[in-house]
Amino acid sequence: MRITEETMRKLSGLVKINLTEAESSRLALTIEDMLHLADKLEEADTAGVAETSHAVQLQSVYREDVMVRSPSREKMLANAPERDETCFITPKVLE
Amino acid sequence: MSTYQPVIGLEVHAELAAESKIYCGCSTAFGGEENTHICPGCLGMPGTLPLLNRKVVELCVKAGLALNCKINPYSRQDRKHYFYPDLPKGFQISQLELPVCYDGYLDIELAGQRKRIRINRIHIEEDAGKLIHGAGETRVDLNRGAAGLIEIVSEPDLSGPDEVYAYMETLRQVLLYTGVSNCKMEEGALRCDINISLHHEGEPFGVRTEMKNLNSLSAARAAAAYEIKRQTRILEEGGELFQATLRWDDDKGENYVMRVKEHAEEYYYFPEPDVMPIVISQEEVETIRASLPEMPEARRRRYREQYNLSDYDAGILTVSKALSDLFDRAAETGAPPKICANFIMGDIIRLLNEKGLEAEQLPFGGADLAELATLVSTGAISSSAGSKVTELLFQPVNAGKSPGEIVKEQNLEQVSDDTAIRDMCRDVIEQNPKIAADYRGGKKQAISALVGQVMKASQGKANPGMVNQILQELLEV
Amino acid sequence: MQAAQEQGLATLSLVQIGKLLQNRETTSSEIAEILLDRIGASGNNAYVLTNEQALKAAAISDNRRIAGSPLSGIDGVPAALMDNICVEGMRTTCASRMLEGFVPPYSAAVAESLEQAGVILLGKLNMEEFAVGPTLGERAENTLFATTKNPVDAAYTPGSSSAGPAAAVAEDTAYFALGSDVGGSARQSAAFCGVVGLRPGFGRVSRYGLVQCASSLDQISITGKDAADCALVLSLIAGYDARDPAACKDRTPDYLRNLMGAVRLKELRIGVPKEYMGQEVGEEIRQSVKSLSAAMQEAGAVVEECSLPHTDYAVSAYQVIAAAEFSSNMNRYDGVKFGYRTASYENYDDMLRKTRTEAFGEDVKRKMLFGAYILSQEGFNAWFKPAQRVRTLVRDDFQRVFGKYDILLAPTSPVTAWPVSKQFSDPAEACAMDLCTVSASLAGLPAISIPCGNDSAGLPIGLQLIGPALSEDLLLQVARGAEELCGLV
Repeated sequence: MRITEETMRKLSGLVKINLTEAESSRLALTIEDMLHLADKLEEADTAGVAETSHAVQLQSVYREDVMVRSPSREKMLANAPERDETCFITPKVLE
Repeated sequence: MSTYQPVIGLEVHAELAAESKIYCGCSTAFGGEENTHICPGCLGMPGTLPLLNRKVVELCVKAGLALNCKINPYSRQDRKHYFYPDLPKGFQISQLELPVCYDGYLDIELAGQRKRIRINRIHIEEDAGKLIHGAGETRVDLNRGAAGLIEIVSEPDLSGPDEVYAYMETLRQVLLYTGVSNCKMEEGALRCDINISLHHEGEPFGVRTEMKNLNSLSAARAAAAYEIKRQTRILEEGGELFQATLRWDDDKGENYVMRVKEHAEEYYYFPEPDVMPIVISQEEVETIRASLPEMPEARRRRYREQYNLSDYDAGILTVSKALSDLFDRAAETGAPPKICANFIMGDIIRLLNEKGLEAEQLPFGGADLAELATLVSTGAISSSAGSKVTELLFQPVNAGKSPGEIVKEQNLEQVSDDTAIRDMCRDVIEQNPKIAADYRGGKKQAISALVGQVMKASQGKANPGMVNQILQELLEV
Repeated sequence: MQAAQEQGLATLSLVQIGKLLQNRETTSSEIAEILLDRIGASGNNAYVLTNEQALKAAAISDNRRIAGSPLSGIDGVPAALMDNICVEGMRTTCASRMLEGFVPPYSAAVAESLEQAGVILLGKLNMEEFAVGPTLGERAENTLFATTKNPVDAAYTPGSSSAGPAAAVAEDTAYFALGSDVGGSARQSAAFCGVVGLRPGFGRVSRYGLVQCASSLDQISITGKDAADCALVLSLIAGYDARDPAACKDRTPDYLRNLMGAVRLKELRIGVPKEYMGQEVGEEIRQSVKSLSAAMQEAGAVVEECSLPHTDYAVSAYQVIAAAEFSSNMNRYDGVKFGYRTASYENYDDMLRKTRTEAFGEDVKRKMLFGAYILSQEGFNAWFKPAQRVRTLVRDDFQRVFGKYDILLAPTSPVTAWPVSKQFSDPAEACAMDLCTVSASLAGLPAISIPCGNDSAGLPIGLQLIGPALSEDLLLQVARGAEELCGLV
């Protein structure tokens, strides 16, 4: 088992979700299965092969440095779960 | 005397002088009303994609060339993941493995000694927004979010607080000269994090701390000094240091722990799939190199060699590119360089400070300065009249007027006519027999009262040097 | 009598209804009303939202036609968009609680294109939460919408992530639909529901406004009743858009017009990758491929077996890359700027975790966790980099075969629709369903699924054509030719 309880704790901390013990064990099993599927990659001969990180072979795709007027603040804040007149509001971050 | 040697490296973030943000067209102007420079793209709204600003790449290359770096012909963005309210996408698009620039250096000068500080890399990334902490909540202003930044990472070559200051000052000058950033630390356009560890010579580096929130050059110096002292004290007492991120409190003059770093943060970097790789050709590099201005060091050397200015004068003039440009334009016309320099270092800098103006906002140019310097050097006006003219040049009501015109309007021509001055001197000697007698009796300083009287009688226009000389002549007869 | 006529109108193709509108034999208002009634009467849950403004827009379109100034040949035709395509002012949920109340302040490029052509937006279509795959059959409690049913047979699945578009077109409640295809979802759903599903090449259609799933794999898909319909729609939505950094600058061909010319099957060399014709693929499906091959050969094409040797690893590579990118893309959902936020919390971290825990379904969580694992220190070198290298090999495989063949013919899916009651216990089993479609996604190539007969259970069989980069023109022409041979047109 590569996906241990500890691994699940670390992963759920990384993606910021809370898991019950039951969920954690259930998901651990299916993630282990997915890893098994991923293991197949080891069998491929990829020595000396470059990685493909992008969908298309484009380079240096630039936008010119021209300022574009921003949409209205009201429009941008309209979907905010919590806001005041001018800002998004979140609960305090604990340092 | 501690045997511990400080090992210091700096990570400097500079906001780039581009009109728009790195991945969208929103304005980068400082001080806009909260959340008025945001769009679905820099808000990270679903379905929006990053569009790389060409200027950001150019400015990074420019900084790299000015800092003697190699430019990567192929560089790439990576996603750096973490959660924070000021980071809309939950990841920052930065550069990990393939930065735009690497392997450079910056030479600093301290007490006549030069030292080379190596630069590990310069890469482009996007800024985070601003958090305004309140009582039970935090307000989020994303105006600054996704502004283009370069991060300049030095090797740990710095050895003390003064070197930190010198490095920041020199770096700031380079970035200003090249127009890469406006470097206004008070606006957050230039920020630095300081990494410090101690060791004994020959031994491995010690535990390193990282310090943030340094908002001025002097704060950086004070903070470095404090942390070196703190670490030294702990080590000498036999205590243990922890890898931590510290926050500097400039008011209190101390730092405190923000968070202890138990293990390396997991940012799970991977290549950013939406932003295409950056390919920079040799021609493009050369074009950018050709656009670099004369850098401060080269300029100082030229001032010493071409105009015979002292180290001190050359140093002051080149602090600001705008002022040294002004000097160059004036001196090029043949105006006396030392007098031009004096005006800049004296009246002009003083008046700019008094009026809260930037050098770039000077209301007159090199031709005017040249004319002014020539008027003084030929004796047409006295140097104190020159100061007066400078002040008048700053006034909006005199916009567009040349120094010569102002001199005429204000009646500031110096009287250097021998006969006229001689007459005034005779009159004053006659009217002040007692002072004249004091002088003749050996009290040489009494002459200044007589000089003052002649100046008053001439409404300040008499050439003071000549007055002094002629009075002496007349009195010693 | 009228009802039959009405239903007749609904079953027409896009090209046909466009002609009727042009000839004023029907009106936009009429057909919009018919389709809206059908949506109401349907129990298939293809739609998750109907557009309240649809009839109004239809009336305005009719006025344009009367005034003699239609915006396009299909001004007034009703269509629908999958609910991961943003439309300004209209709720866009991606079938997730996380975006339940989200109203985008911008429209996707493709939505704008349709609007500019006068297409009537009937509503938004159902999908898997954030187009996640694989889904393991246990429907979590917080599924936002009822599951879509396959209009052909409700006992069988309509396919995975892109069920809504396929069901809507199959049940004739939209003349065409736009959705997304990540690893083959649009093609697979089209195959299962007996309609046509086109995945254009990467860069051909702007992704601006398509809620991202896996950034280097997502593409807008077109679901339609036949190849000609897809060609017409592709002409409308293809083209350069500065808001998509991957956008290709090539001129957009007139796909429909090029299609209507003689299909030159006899000049074609068609390859059938043997890796898609193995034992994992159902016998009847393979037989369908063979029948079509034979018919194409009779029509003069050269049809030969070819090989894409790295197909074996493609599913693994796809799942690894898709999970990593998906996990990353989900980071923006944090309860701060938009979307769901939990009701009570102590501080930011607490709010963040509770929000994401409550608003994401289990399949999404699994993919995020797996993706994070892949990108961790250990995972990056062990699986992520190898997956990216395999991707290069898969791309090279295609380049090689396209040096010899013009188009590839393959099944769309190794199976026809499976029963709704089937539960995948092992995710690998679910992933294997993508065997024939992931490679084209990895290589960014255009591919299309066309219906070609049914199996003995009466379920549609879909066959796939894959073309080289930017070959949608040829792809659609061959698809049309194949349709004729499959006895559809």
